[in-house]
Amino acid sequence: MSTSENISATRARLQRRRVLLRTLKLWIPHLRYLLFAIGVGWLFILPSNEYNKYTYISENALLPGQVNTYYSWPQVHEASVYRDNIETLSTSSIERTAYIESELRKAGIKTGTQNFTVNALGKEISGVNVFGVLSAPRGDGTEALVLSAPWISKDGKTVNINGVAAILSIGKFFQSTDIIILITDGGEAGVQAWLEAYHDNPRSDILSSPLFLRSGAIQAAVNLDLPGTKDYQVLGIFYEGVNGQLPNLDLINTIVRIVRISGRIPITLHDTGHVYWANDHGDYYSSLYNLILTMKYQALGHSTGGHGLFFRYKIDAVTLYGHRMEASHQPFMFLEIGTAIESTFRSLNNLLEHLHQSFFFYLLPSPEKYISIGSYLPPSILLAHPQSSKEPKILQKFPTPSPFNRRPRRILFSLTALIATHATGIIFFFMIKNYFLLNKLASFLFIQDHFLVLALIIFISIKVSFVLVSIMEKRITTNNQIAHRIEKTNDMNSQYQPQQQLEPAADWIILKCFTLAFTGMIISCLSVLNFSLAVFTALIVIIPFSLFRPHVSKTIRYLQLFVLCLISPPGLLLLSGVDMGNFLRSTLMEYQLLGNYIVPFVCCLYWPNVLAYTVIVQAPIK
Amino acid sequence: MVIIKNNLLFLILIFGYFLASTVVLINANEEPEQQVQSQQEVAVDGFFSRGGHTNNWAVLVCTSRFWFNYRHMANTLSIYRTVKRLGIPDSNIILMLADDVACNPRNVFPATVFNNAGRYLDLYGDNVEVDYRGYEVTVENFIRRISPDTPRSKRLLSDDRSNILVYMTGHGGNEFLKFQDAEEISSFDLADAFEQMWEKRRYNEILFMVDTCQANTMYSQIYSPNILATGSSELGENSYSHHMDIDIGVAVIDRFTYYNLEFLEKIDMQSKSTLKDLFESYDPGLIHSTPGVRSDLFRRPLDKVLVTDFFGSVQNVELTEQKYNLSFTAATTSTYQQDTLNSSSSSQVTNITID
Repeated sequence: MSTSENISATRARLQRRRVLLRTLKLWIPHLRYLLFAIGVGWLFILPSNEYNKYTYISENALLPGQVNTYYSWPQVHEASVYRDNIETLSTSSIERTAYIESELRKAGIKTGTQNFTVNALGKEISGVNVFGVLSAPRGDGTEALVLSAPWISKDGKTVNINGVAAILSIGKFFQSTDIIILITDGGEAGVQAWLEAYHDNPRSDILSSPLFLRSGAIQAAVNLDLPGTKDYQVLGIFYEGVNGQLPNLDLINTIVRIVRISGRIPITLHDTGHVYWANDHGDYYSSLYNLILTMKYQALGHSTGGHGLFFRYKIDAVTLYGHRMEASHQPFMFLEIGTAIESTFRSLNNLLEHLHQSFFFYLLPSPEKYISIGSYLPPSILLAHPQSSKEPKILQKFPTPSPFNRRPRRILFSLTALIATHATGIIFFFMIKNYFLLNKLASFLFIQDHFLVLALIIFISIKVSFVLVSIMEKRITTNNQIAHRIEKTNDMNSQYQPQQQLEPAADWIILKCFTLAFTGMIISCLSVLNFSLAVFTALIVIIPFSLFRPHVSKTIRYLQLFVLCLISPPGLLLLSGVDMGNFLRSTLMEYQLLGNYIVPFVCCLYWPNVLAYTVIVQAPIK
Repeated sequence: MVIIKNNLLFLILIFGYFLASTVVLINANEEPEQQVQSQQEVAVDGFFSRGGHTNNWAVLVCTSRFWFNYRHMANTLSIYRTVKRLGIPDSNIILMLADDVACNPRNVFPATVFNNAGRYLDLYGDNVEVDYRGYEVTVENFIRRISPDTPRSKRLLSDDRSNILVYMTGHGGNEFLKFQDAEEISSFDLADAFEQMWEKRRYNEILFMVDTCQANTMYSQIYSPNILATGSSELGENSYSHHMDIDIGVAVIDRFTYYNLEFLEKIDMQSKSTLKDLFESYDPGLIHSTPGVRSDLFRRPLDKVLVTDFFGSVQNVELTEQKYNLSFTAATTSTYQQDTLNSSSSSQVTNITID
């Protein structure tokens, strides 16, 4: 092959590449709108009945509902007696503990108590957990199942009378795995204290008496929440745990299947929404409602019941919640619930290992339909994508005359700015972490609640952005001077300087690139950990982040700033209209006690990017 | 001197053989009218043509483990009980069983295994000798047990007069059968193992019976003679359980085995039922899958093969009230009297009878 042929081939290749790049450059900006539209559209396809599949039992060992249950009227009578007795008990932990312990002992169950004091947010929560271990007559005691009931129902007020009574009456059926009957005090703190003690995980913020009674590794847990003393119309299934973790789908499937076979209990997901009977999968709107509710719980990393705390120890768990409704469903009570629980435990008894066959990542539009991770993940990636695909486009905004002429990009300043905003985020995180401490300080200074923190936050964010903007402005003037100097030297040595030195790209462009790339990365990484949080973050952030840029018009600049204030965490809290003190208290409690990562995420990853954008929109255009 | 002596002995033997064969041939040619056999001889001939075996063996394998596979253990124990009832002694039965259900803590009726929700019969009742138990049930142990290359003490002590029943049950698929979630045996492994047995004269006839999903694929690769095979379902079909016991909480028996047992329960050691009757009793409507029979390698017509030829150990002895006088020809037509004819090596005798 001759050299000329070689050269022409290379030239043709280069030509092709250039054409390709040019078309890509032309299409990418339009493509990202398309991708965004597809992503959002896809989210709304998820609940449709044609898109999602029927659930099925993956684990062969479970064999749900294939066994005789022995829970019958004598047990129902027993439960009613327990209920009446519990109703007369006073609210004192000691009296209640003594009663439950004595009843468990009467049934021949070994019992134990645990006094605990949890120190969270400067407040002390203390209580007494009671538990009993029902040893399997022929089991080896290496594995256990937990049947738990909180003393106070999840609404925080009603006593879980029926739940405790049902548990006391259930504990005597045939089983091969040890069953731990656990009645917890003090809400989630009690469950956490018991779990930490059971797994020998001492913590400085939880003071508790050691557990002298133990069983084997816990395989699964069912948390029974039946508030009050009256009958129920619907059984709600709560399954979201801390940080959006979910139990294995087989556990939910087993319970749903058993309830279906018994045919006497209508079920619902959570406590509101559509009530499902057999062969009913609801319509599009009920599915959408269930998805939104689940995604809300998951995004906030909020555990919807005591079950959510078990996931940290690789224990699958759900909460069954008795719900009353005005609708004229046939009410159900101990017989139906007891039978379902017994059957569920017989199934779980059959397990030879942890539940692992079915999904851990799923969305449930209705109790018998599921969307697997493979079906729901694409939209979140599509939503994250425009963030990162926008970035090369910005860099190309001012097309260069030839490939050899490059516009200098000064990334150092932008990187520093991004680091500064993230450092600010970390400061915010520590302020919010010590929110209640700061409030106390404020009350010394006669300042109103959370006024001090808000003022500090506003002050710091304004200060940071103004400092960064002023540095940008300064840099531009120095840049101009340098450019002049370069021009002069260029003029002088024009014959030796064939390349034209271009003006460096504006700092805001580089900063926007970094911020967008970073946001895209966060969203796509998060989507596999906590899909719901990723989707909500993307939906909030994506439009402002794509469109906002410094504008000549002052009003548009202020408008952009206003929107950024709204999508900043305090703005979102204001928009959602929740009681800020209560919300922060519960979220921070969850952070400290249960390891909920929503606060660090928002402060250290979400907020800094919004802050960086406040700098971008105020930046000088040049 | 010793070499010469041996050679001489050998020559004499060969001479003797030729002499004997010519005598036999001449006799056969000289008396053609003897082909019309007397009634006595027909009776005797029928007695001998019943089957060429002198001993029976059974290899019963349950390849499953775990509580929810209760039914596979029950299947195997049911067949075990049947073959024992029909006369195969424990010394001739290899029982491979995970054996983790009878004393499983999940078993509501400890130390029992039932194959019916009525719980009429405790299969685990008395005298169950499990040869390979728990994790010992492996493909290797199975193959080694039937393979002729393993030491005598560890192998099936069958010979060329042995009829062997090989029964397997578990979870399978297209041309494989899973052993305890850990490994699987393929139809090729099985076919080669049978061929080795055939080459080393370790069986007379084999009945291979398999109850698993897509079971008929398991015998598709077998190529050795005298093997009769039957399976519970075709390629692409599942085999199903028959019913469950709601107190035990699991299915207790599979359909194919259930209907086999229904037939076998009516059989006793004197029964004249044939395998044709057994195979014709299979009803795909009841079994919920299409059972298959492969008889192309098998030389006897199925209506001549007694069920007890494989499922029992019925000695070929018939006591008669009168005396039968055997003529020389009647004896030669039968394959089983060779040794009385000629005391030389058996291969030479075979040559004569085939002629």
